[in-house]
Amino acid sequence: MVTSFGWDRNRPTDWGLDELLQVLDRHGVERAYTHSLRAVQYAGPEGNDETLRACAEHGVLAPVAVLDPRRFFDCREEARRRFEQGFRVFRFFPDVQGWSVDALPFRKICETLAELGARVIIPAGPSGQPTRIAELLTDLDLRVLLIGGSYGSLGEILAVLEEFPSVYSDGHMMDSPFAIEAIVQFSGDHRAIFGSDSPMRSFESPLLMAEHAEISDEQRRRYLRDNALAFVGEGA
Amino acid sequence: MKKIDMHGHLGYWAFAIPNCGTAESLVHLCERYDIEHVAASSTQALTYDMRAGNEEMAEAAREHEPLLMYVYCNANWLAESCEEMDTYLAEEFGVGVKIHCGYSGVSSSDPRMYDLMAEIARRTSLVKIHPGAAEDLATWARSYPDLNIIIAHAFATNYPAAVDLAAAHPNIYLDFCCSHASRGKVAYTVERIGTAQIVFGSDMDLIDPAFVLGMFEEADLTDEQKRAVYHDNGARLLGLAQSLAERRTQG
Repeated sequence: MVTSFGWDRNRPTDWGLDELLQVLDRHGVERAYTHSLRAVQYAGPEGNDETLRACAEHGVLAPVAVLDPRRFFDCREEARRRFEQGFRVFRFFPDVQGWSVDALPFRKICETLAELGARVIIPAGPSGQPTRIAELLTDLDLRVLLIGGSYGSLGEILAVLEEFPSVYSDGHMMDSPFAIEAIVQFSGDHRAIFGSDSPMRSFESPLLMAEHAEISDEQRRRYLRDNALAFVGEGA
Repeated sequence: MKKIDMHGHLGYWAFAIPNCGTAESLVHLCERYDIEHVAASSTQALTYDMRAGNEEMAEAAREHEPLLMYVYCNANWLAESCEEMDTYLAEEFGVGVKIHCGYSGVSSSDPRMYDLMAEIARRTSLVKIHPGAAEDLATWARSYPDLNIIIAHAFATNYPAAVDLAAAHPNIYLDFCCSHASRGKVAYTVERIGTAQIVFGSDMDLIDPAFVLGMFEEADLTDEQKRAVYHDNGARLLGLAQSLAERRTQG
């Protein structure tokens, strides 16, 4: 559920579409939810157009739209337009873009996304943020995938998973022993979702974590595939 | 493929890491990932009580063959650190020293750290440091050519700086355990300096070895390169190379 393509402005690397497609092909990925980094770093609507074009050309890709609450004025319209175009997942970047989840525009945009029946991806972030996001959105009918949690935030994420049934967690930075087992257990098997953050990060690292996790084959299949489909409203 | 893990810890972390923190949990991970030995330091020593932690680490290493010991030294207590080294480096399982600028609150540029490094160089050929400034690491590498210095985490996302250091100093080694599994990190390093100065370090059981292995597996290394990184470079630093050769002859 967690990939992207484009330029990394902070280092001399090109994480372009070809690079992403190569990683997906190498690992036999059936579907990757992705977005253009242009939408994060430069202009949301232009980047979302780029995402749409890439997904139209490559069947393995599914589109994720990026919304930036800092430019609130057109975000809800952008959400509706993208939903009509087939986007079902919307991603936020408070960390990279420098805004707070407590800012009212975020809540208002999420109200619109809930009305549409969309899904949200957002970083787990620093201490307190997973709880804040869950509490802030709990009255909305909105599934939220927290991504990028690691050992420092795992305890809070487990508590949030236990308390809030609409919250999911990805595992691309879950690097401590038994972290995958923990999110699987605390989410009742169904709300732990594989992510890689490819092509910027190693696909093999979270994959090997999943392969070695002491969970049943059924739980592993759900984690690697089925739970993501359920998150977006397909499958079980 | 057999592995030697050059970066481990015994003890608890203040995080939600179930089933971990004990010698048994380290041995469990060693078995899971075919790790012959893990060179580890005590988290209690790092975060709270140097002497109690080193004692705990020594006890675990005595009882569990896969565990080898880095003696933790704290530059705030030079005399006590020297005593700890004299006690535990004399043991068969005492393979080197671990220092941590962050937990001790003594930066690598601090004169106390320079004093400690001089004492370390008198007593052992292996030190692992986390983190340190590039200029200090370079100074120590030049001043103590017989001391092998492992840069823990290879400066994380700033790994090109660590690679530059290793390129300039043959006694500087890099381990890549990190929560940020940057893709391309290993390939970049191998292209610049080859594999002779890369060791496998997992940071278990804070980090699962699988996470770090993934970075190497993604890098398209040859079997020979993997063997060097996963096992032989570490064996050489730990002085296990001879026994390794003997085992191969026997095998």
